[in-house]
Formats: sequence, C-alpha cells, structure tokens
Amino acid sequence: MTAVALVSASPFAAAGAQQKVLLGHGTTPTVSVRLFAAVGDIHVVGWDRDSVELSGVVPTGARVEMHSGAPLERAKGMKMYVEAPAEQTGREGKLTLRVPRGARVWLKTGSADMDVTGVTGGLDLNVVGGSITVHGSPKEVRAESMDGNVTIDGSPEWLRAKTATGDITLRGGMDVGASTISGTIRASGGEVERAKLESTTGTISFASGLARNASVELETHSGPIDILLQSRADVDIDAATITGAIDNQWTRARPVTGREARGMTLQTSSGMGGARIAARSFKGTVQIKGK
Amino acid sequence: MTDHLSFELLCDLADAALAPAVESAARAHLPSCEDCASRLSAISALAARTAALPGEMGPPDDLWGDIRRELKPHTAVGRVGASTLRIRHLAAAAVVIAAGSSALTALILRDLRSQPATQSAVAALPPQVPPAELPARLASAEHGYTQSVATLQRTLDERRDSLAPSTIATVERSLRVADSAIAEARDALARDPANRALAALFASNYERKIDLLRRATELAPRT
Repeated sequence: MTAVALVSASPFAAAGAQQKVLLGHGTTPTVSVRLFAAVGDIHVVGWDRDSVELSGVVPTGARVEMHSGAPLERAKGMKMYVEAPAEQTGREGKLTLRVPRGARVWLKTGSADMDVTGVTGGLDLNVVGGSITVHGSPKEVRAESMDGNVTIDGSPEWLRAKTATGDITLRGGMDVGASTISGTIRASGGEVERAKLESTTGTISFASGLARNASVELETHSGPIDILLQSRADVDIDAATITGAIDNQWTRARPVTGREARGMTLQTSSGMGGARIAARSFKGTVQIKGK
Repeated sequence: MTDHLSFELLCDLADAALAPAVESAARAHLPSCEDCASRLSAISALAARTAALPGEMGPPDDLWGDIRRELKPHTAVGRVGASTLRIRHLAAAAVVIAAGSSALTALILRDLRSQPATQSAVAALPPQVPPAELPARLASAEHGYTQSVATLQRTLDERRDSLAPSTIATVERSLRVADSAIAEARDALARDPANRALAALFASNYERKIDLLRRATELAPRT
C-alpha cells in the first residue's frame, strides 16, 4: 500500500505564482472522497485503479491537505483540502482528481469549473460561480451552482440539479429533478421515468423520451414551458395556467379558456396513454408540439 | 338536501369559507340531520382547540439548542471543529425546514384536493379591487414559510462578509425575482383561494426561495 504526497514549486508556474501538487493513496473501489478546492478548474476522472490521485497546480502558498485514516490500509474514505492564500481569489490553479470508477465523490468549490468523466458511483457537486459538467452515467448525481451552468451529459439513475441563475442542460436521466430561479432548463435525450423541472422565471424545455408510465411535472411562475414529444408517444397531458396561454400543436384538442378570457386548461392524450405530463404555469406560455 | 354534507364542506362551513348560497343550503340541512350537525360541532370544537395552541412549535430542545448555537456568530472555534459542527447543525436546520416546508405544502393543498385544477376566479374580479387577506389556513401556511425565510435570512446576513460580492449580488437578484413571483401568486390566491393549481404554484415559489437561501447559507462559510 502506498501513500504519496508531494507539493513543490512548479518550474512552469506563471510568474512564479503556482506550485505543483501530487497526492495519492490506495483505496477501496467504492471509496468516498471529499474534496474542497479553491482553484480555477477541477477535472474528476474515474479510472480502473483502486486508488485516488490528486494532481495539478495550485497558487503558491496554498494549503494542501489529505486525510485518509490509517495510512497503511486501503482507504474507505478520504478528505482533501486545497485552500488558497488569503490574498488569492481561489480562481487560479488547475487540479485533476482521479478516483476509482465506483467512488462516491463530494466536491465543493467557489468559482471553479468542474468537469467529471467516467465515474459510475455517486457525485455531489457544489460550486458558487463556476460551471458543472458531468459526462457518463453515475448512479447518483447532485449538482448545485449559483450562477454557473450545470450540464449532465449522460443518464444517471437519480439526478438533482439546482441553480439560481445558471442554465441546466440534461441529456438523460431516469429520476430527474431540476430547479432554478431564472436559468433555463433543457431536458432532452434519454428516457425519463420520473421528472420534475421547475423555475420561477426561466424557460423550461422538455424533449426527453418517456418510459412506460413515466410521470413528468413541469412548473414555472412566468417562464415559457415547451414540450416536444416524439411522434406516437403514449402520453396523457394535463396543462393549466392561471393567466398564461396554452398552444397545443400535438393533438387536435383545444385548450379551454378560463373566465374573463384569462388562464387556460388542457387535457389531451395520444397513443395508448400511460405516461403523464403535468404542466403548471402562472403566466408563462405552455406550448406542446411534436419533434 | 337529502344526502349528508361532505367532510370538506363541513370543514369549509366551520371555517366560514363557503359562498353565501352554498352556506345557506348547508345550514338549512343541519336542523334535519343530527349526524351532520354533530360532525360540524366536532369540527368546530377541534378548530377552537387548534386555535388555542401555541403559534409556534419548535423542534426538540436539544436539536433547537444546536440550531440556536449555530445561528450565533462564530468566534474562537477551530477550523475543522467549526466545519464539522456547521455541517451537522445546518443539516439539522435543513431537516427541520424541509420537514416544515413539506408540511406547509400539504397544509396548503389539504382542503383543495376536491377542487378542479384551475378556477379562474382570479380573472373574474375587477383588477382595481385590492387583494384581500389570505384565508386562515393559507395565512397560517404562509406564516410558516416566512418564519423559515427569516431564520435563513438571519443566518445569511451573519455570514454575508464571507461571501464574494458577486455571489451576494446573484443571491439578492434571485431573491428579488422570487419575492416578485410570491407577491404575484399571493395576490391572485387571495382572490381565488380555492384554486389548487394556484396554491401549489404559491407554495413552490416559497420553497424555491427557501431552498435558495439554504444553499446560500451553506456556501457562506468557505467562499
């Protein structure tokens, strides 16, 4: 069993402001890894080794720590910190974290752009001002950003994504939840079993496939909701607005206008039915059409 | 009226939430139906007892103590210890708030389940009519939401200095958007309190705001 730790000044550092980092430890295949890193970019890679390695460059003077329990045993859990000096903004430096594919990774940072590839375990990703991109299909993904974008390019079994102003792009997922205040939510690809997409003012675009008996809820206060369905989709649609319009180009059913000509409701089905989409909007427009 | 009054109708009758014509018909049924009169009496008594309960019910003392300590400014606690405590306490607070939010949503929607998905009474009122107060059950639910908001807002204010100015700007901008949506939904709900879809949208707006505040407070310590 080996444990490696190296922090040294980098000969390639720009203006002498960065230092190299290399930390490593043998682990179990399903190790839980927690990393807090105040750097500019973080790349997480799932690899076919039972070990964890953190490498890259960080600002000179950054505090770098790794805790892995008993040093001579394969770690079941690891914690790592990379904290920038007080005078730094934490936006410099670039790290690559390699973990066993089945690892569970908890990653938090201030303004880094996160990119995750090849992890099949679980991901809990939290960033304030950077973006989050996940490639592949981890079992579970929780991704939260304030004003950065979140992109999930895979089909996790369980997925929850949240932003305040950042956009959320989902290209798959089975049990999906996405919430934003003013960002846009786009769901496409894959075949969802259950989904809840909600915004306050942001656009919601749902174009994913539907599993048999899927349940989809789309809810917004004032953003438009666009539903794109595959031809011959077996689906029941229940849409309602308080003051917004409903535009149905999917079936011949016409929405019913509320009293005083404000607000609309629409119930319509296609194919054999089974899957259900419920759309609720206060004043955003709901549009339903075929792909 | 030959059938018994439904439970929902009796509840609304006890809450004085029925339209005058419906209330008159319901009350006309009572003298000839001992069963309904008895159930109404029981519901009214329960409402009175409920009204006499304390306005707030806190979590267990040990948990609330943890949360209170967490809400105080951090002083000379070591870094790792503070971090561990922070996570534990925030998790505890989040559980309380999340449970409260879910209960409030259920409360808001409880009596609306038999209503159609939308009723456009909002639009039926002239726009110049000022919004009425929310009915008691909705006002009570909103009170719960505002309590959660206030708690989280205080925590965020205390940790404001540890957030980057750009993050504060993002959070405040988003809070304004959330508040605007809440006010709009609230105004409509006050005019159309039986609208189930509207009540759900109202609750969702609050829950997104609470979730935003929760996330902002969790970001604060190390950013």
